[in-house]
Amino acid sequence: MKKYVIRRLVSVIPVLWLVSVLVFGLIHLVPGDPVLVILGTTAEKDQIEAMRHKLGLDRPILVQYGTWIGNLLQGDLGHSIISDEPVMEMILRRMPVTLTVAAAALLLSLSISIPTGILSALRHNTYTDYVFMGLVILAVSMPSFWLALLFILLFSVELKLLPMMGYVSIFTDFWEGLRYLVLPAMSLAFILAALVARMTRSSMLEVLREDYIVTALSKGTPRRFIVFKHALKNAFAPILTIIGFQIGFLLGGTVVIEDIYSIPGVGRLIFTAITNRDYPVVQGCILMVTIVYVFVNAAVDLAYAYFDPRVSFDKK
Amino acid sequence: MFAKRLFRNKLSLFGLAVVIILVLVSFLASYIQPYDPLKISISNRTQGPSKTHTFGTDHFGRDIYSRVLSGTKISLTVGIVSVTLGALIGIILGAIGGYFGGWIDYAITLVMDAIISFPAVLLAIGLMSVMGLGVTNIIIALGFIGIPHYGRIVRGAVLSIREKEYVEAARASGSGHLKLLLIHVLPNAMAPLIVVTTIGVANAILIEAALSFLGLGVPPPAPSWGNMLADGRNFLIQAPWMTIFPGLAISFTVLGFNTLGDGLRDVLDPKMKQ
Repeated sequence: MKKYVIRRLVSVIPVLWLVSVLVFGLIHLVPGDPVLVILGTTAEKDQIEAMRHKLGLDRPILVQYGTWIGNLLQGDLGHSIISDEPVMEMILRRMPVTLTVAAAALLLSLSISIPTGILSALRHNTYTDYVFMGLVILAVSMPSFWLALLFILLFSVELKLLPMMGYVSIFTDFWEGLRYLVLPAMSLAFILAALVARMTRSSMLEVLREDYIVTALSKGTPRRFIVFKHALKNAFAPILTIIGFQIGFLLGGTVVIEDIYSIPGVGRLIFTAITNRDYPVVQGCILMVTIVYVFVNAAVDLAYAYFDPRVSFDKK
Repeated sequence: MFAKRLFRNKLSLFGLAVVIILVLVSFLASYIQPYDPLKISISNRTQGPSKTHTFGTDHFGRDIYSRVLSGTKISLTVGIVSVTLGALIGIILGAIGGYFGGWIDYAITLVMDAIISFPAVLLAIGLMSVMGLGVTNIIIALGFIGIPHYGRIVRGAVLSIREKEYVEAARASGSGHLKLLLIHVLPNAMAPLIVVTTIGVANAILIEAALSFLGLGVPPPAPSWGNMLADGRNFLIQAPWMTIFPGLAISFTVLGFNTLGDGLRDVLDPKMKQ
């Protein structure tokens, strides 16, 4: 297990290196001269040269990358073109907000999906199962940003139950913060819950047909004990995989949802930066969110090995 | 045999019907839309659904029903072309990596792992923010994001049968690399590829709508569903129909491709069916 943990963590290094190359290359995808795109075509020649120098674009590309990655390894993502603030500080200030929204959505979705999936599996081929699975198919097809707008319309405009937009940290005022978190979390949790419920159902169905479950049943072991102690633990590995896959959706979706609910997280920062053509901030945000995603996925893989120990031996 | 099983499966039949309807609508939109989707009529702005305007009108008095019909073409074009692009590149790279192995395989796998490490929407936002708005750029961005999904499937299929006896026999009888890949290896990856590409179209349509909604996709006034939702967002209280109908169109389309994909999975791989 220890070897597997080390191997999994080491495997992250080349991927992160290539991710850094792709993020670094983003600014070079700007059609034409990125400096002219940032400053506009009416900029003076000395302004253009100063900006080119500030962004390091006046040096050979390999030197640019070397400097960029060297700084990155020391936690320096450069400075914002607009505010001259260090990009890392700007992101670190907003990252907890984004992670709070994503975590709330994840918790909400798991609290809906796992019981739903288990119930569907236990009542396989009954009306309960059909209704749940029908809802799953519908939920997966609805864009989270559309749901966000519908939730505002229903819960904020019509019922006046929850705030339309804004953000209060749950660490400052828990109950007020929770009120602001409900709609963004619900908007994101819907699709995620549907996918996890579907996987829980099919995974549970598979496990419930295993011989050891039939044996336990025939020995008179209580059904509840079998479901939670034996079946769920063994069914959990595939469920974890789908959760791991969906963390990317969750982080990407949070970025969009933040824009709708005016939540001051990394997503809002990206959109402001895109509007201002503040490319170092755009690059920094994308890189940092991706790094979080890569490590969360590695953690999910390690958890997978815990639930299914064969994984760590398979790769020997 | 395949068609028979496909038509027996209610899920895939429903998905197929939805997809056929959407394709027909996208081709016939200019004939069946009651109004010009771009025509501004200030005197008719933000009117609710009625007999003259089935889905109501937007803040410029444009007919939402006509715009929704017209938007089908944009969504399907982006979805299908971007998936085709991503699948073609993914298949080639996956086949080369799996077949030749060694450092080529390692390099290709590493690139695919890196692309898939980005949250898809975030990478799409990043690419569009530097490449600029437009349908072509969306297709390129979404195609790029899709490459690893197809590449991994083909690589897996190639690895699983590369050393099989019939492949060895074909190689010994003088078949070239290309012939081996096309005739003996790729057909083995077709079933999962068909399923993944079908669901890939649904995902591409969702991401295109998200990009257009954020102002990073199809430039206005083109009637993309995402653009319509972005307009509707500013009139959520006065004219909720501006938000409801384009959203329903996206959901219906994604539902169609998802159910077709799920149905095809049941048909092509009966072991998956629970």
